[in-house]
Amino acid sequence: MTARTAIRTCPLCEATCGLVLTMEGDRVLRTAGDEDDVFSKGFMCPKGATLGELHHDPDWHRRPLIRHRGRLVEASWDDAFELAGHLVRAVVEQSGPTAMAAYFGNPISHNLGGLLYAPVYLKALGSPRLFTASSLDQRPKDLVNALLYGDRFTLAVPDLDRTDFLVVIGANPVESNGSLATAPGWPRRLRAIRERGGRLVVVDPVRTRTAELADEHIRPRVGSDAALLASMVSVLFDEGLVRLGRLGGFVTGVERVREALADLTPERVAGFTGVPAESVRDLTRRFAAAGRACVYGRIGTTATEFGTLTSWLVDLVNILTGNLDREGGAMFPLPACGSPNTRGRPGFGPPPRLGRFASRVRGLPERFGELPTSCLAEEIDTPGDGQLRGLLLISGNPVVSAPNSERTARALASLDALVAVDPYVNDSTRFAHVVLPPPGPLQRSHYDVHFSTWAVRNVANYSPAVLDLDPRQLQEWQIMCRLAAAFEGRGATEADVDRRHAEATARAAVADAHSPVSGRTVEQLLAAVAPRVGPERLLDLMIRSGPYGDAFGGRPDGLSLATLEARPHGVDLGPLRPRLPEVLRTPTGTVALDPPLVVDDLPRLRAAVASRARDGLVLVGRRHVRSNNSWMGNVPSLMTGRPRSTLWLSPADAERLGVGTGDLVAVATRVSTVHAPVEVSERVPPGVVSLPHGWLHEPDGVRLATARARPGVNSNRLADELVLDVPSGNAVLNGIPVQVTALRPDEYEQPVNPLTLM
Amino acid sequence: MAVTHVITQSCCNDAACTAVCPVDCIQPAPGTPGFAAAEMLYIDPATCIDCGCCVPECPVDAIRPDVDLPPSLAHFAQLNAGYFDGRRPGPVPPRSVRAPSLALDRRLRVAVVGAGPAGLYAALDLLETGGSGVAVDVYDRLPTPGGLIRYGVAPDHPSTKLAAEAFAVHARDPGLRFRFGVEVGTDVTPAELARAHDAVVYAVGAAGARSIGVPGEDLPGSLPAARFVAWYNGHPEAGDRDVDLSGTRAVVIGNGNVALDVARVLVSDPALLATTDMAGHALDALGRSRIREVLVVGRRGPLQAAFTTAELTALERVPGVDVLADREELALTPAEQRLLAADPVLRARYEVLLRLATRPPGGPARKRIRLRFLARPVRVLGSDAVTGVRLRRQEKRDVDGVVTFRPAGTTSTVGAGLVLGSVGYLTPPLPGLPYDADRGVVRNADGRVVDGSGRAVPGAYVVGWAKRGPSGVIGTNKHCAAVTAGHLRADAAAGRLTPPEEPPQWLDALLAERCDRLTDWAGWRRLDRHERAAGQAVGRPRVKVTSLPDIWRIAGRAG
Repeated sequence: MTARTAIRTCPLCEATCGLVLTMEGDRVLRTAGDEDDVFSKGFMCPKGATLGELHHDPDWHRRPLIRHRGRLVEASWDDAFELAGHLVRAVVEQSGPTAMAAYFGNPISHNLGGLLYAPVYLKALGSPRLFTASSLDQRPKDLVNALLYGDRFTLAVPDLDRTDFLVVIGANPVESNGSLATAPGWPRRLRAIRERGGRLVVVDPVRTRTAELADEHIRPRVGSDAALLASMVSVLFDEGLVRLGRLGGFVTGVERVREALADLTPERVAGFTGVPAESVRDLTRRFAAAGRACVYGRIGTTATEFGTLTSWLVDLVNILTGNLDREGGAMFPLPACGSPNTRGRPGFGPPPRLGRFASRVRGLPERFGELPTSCLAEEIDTPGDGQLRGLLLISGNPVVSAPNSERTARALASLDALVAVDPYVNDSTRFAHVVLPPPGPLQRSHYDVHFSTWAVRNVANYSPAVLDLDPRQLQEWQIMCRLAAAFEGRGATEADVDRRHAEATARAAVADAHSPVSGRTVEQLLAAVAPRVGPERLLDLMIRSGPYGDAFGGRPDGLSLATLEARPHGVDLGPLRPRLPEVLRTPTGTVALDPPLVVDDLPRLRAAVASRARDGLVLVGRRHVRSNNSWMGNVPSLMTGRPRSTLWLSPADAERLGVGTGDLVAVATRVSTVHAPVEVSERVPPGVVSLPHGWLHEPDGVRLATARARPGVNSNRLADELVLDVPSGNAVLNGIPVQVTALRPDEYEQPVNPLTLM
Repeated sequence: MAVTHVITQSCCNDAACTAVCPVDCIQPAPGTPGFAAAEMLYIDPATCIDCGCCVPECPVDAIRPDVDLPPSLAHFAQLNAGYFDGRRPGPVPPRSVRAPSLALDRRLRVAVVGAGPAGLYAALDLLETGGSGVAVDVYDRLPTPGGLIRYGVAPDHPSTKLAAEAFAVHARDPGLRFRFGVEVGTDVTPAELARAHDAVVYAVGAAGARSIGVPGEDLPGSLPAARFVAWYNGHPEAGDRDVDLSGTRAVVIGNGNVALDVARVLVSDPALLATTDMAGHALDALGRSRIREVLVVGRRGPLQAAFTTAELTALERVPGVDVLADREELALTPAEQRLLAADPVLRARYEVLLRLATRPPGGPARKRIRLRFLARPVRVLGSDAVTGVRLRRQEKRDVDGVVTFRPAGTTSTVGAGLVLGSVGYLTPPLPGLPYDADRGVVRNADGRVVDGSGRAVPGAYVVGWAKRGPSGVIGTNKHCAAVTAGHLRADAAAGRLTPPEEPPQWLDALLAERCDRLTDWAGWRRLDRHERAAGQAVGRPRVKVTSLPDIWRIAGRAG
């Protein structure tokens, strides 16, 4: 057999790197970064080299599984859809549509078919309760985006390639490849800031690999980012450094912000943040004077006690220094399709969907139609009217991803209907009644509908599938259409559901008075994209009616899917350009800096500042470039090497506890206790311990041979589902108070993981 | 800017890095032809994706991003790139994660004799592959683990000593027990060990030094380099008696890495050595040393020298010291030139030597190391103590396209107050175990101990220098141990191991009776903490406790 080359965008994380695969038959011999990719220019990470391994993973199911006599066994697709439809319809008939829930894990947002076809089965289910990984992650940022700019996905990303002063707070893009800011090759781009004479400041209690690239590393106490940023804002006002520039015409509420934050001076909060007041003032002055500057925050600023305030303050610092929507500052991408801020009336939109209903047990308000995932388990395990009895699990592993894993596991095990779209029998899907496996990453096409809306450069890149499906596999979009038909129970075919969905997409485009295809007919558009079906038909419709599209002949030089197919290394649509005010979709057409939902949370922060810092140890998460949230633990090439699921402990704390690297300790919270091996590390300061997330894969029933050979400690067994960022309902996964005690060697042989359900 | 990573000075060849490299850019990898003989491993800058995954895997901190290379290591970028010499990368081999694979109906009890790198690698390999089906007891006559990591590695190579930390990570494995203070052969016989275990793995190292075999080598002032190394590293059995450093010149016979180590230590600035963990008595003695010049003498030519390029370049960078070579001794035969053209690593090393030969010597204030080739010692001179060495010149020429050496007629005399023989180590015979006197190792077939007729001694295995002789670096033992452990597992699976006749308590009772001092990992940790604390107080990594009574007192008895 001769080797051939395939070019595709890596679908695994937000960085969207171009890859060159050298293949022989269906084997990947070698993977390299695509030097000609318009965006990634040759960068890749270890995960990108695993597409072939994922394709050949013996634990990646190719046929559906159904529960038979208590065990998941292979079945035909027909039987699987029939059982799924039967179980789900029974729940809906008995208890109504709100007894069903859907949970979306993160991988769906990297999956063209999965993302575009989610609406079909949600619609078929009536209105299920919706939970996603977003409320374990970025919900505070979603909320602030919606409140400030009118849409939760209207995100101002750091203009990485042109900024001269970047403050990275609570983010470790050297390990994570970046998030909420799509930029392949963060390490290169960060180094380039310094090479062009700019400055990189990292604010993080932990000395991360990102911090090691920085000019300055500021190490505040865990959980004090909001206070630190608030004090920067107070300095901007106090020292007359506020420079709105052209933003002055678009923002309101500046004076109210000044009043709201005036008391949170660096001097006042220094005891809480641990950062000397003078260095905060100095940083603020230099930031304000830099000209092209940007604060970028990530998981350390969102999945925390004050996530919403912190996310808001990140944008405030950018706005008040005139760095929003300015080259080198924080800018709004203009993607080729998929963004709500390129549809409808420029500048204006309806109020965000917030708090229209509440969760049944704790009364937590919905956000954008979703309930916090922290209340998923209680909605299942608390009896009463409206109790959840069924769950559709789409590429999600909440047992590992959500707080209080043990409760989540028990809850999932108790469901009447658990239908999973997932390739693996993992910690969560082991409880499923039906598992519907999508094809592997080389067997599906790819376009980053979602992440191109957050990219630091406007690009469009489409990759066709590299390998065909096996005869008995279905594409993810086919699975979703057939699921929708099964839930409807009215005998629709896959093609029926697909056609209805395409019609709805086209209808929305022609009905938009501001769309370049306004006034055309649905039939005209569908005829123009024929004979495409599935996600390619939708994508072609979206791109051609999008901001760069050919408008079906209206702009002959514009983009279509055919253009992208002819350009495997991607199409460069240029650097980010200022978009205010048209990017907004707010009722007023302006940016109100003082949303009550956020400002009203300030007393909670003040109370924390007043109570000063806590004693004892706090737990933070950590990232590793060879991991990807709760999955990819079954890929051998990512699991070799020294154990990564270790508890980082500072030398001082290790000395105090009398433990060293390799010793086991017990880590306890209200929720649970885990035993974790210690790794003494100077990367964490005294008082801070760190566990990576996404580990476990050990209990019986999990069919992940490699992952089970290298099990780890699931940090979410310690996270408390009752502790939330109040405005957003986001889980608090960073800054968890823990008790750590040394274990005697004779205690070691206790099972590290007592979660032996099922 | 694209960045690449670079493997530097302290590379230990354990190849932990290769298993995590997603693009297989670290070569030669285990299983490839060049691995066994590799001086070090190299990163292909054209393939490296700058992910940094290899960095934390390296137990000796040898891997750096090229943008962060300190000047002292900058030359390794070229050395790494040079190894690949335009070669294109092949397919990336599949990786596997080993799950415990021993499926016996009983727990396998294994003794490992020797807590040096080879023994610890063997113990960890057995535990990793055996999971809870294996229990390993590691014995050492000393109260300290690490073997040559603690007592062999030069004090000015602190990164190399980090290898010990990698073992410490696994020390609390519930299947692993340490019995320090037990001398096998004295306190307990191999036969007794065999009665209490399914298998015994001998990792006893090579504590004996080969003699240089010339008259006069027993004169005061002439000693094996190994003993000098043990002395400056504070080995409790090496004593703290001063080595006579009152002469101005020392001669080191042999030119492997140990020869370079002792040469470097002899001329290093005592103030720099005082920041290392060198034994206190050695620091004092070296502070008073009058040695200005060290000759490192090799019998064969520059291409045949046993030192590595990395160690040679480290020598070049010792502050205040000139390293010199003689241009004439670097001349190559046609066969050697062909060899050089075919081997980029050899070429890199030869280029360093050429540079040394053309460098003008510095002023009289500077100390010197002279690398001499093509000279063999014929006699150590002196009556009451060493006064010099007589060397005979060697000639080389190609015979049938292969370079050969033979003594020439001319001799010369070099005055010296110290002669250190560094021509190899051997394993002393261990009572009760077959011995291969020719090779100076435990008689074995690829790690299975065999008797004189080649028959395997059931349940007896050997790893490390006691198996293959004194070759390779620390990490070489990992792969050596894996091979032996593989045989052990295969023998266990095939039922070729005899179950222990006696329960563990039998041996415990025996040892309690015979060994008046017995300690364990916790005891070592007490000593380790004590030494580190003492070091911290004076700005050194640790202050070694060098007397056995003190060590026992601090470590305490096994609890």
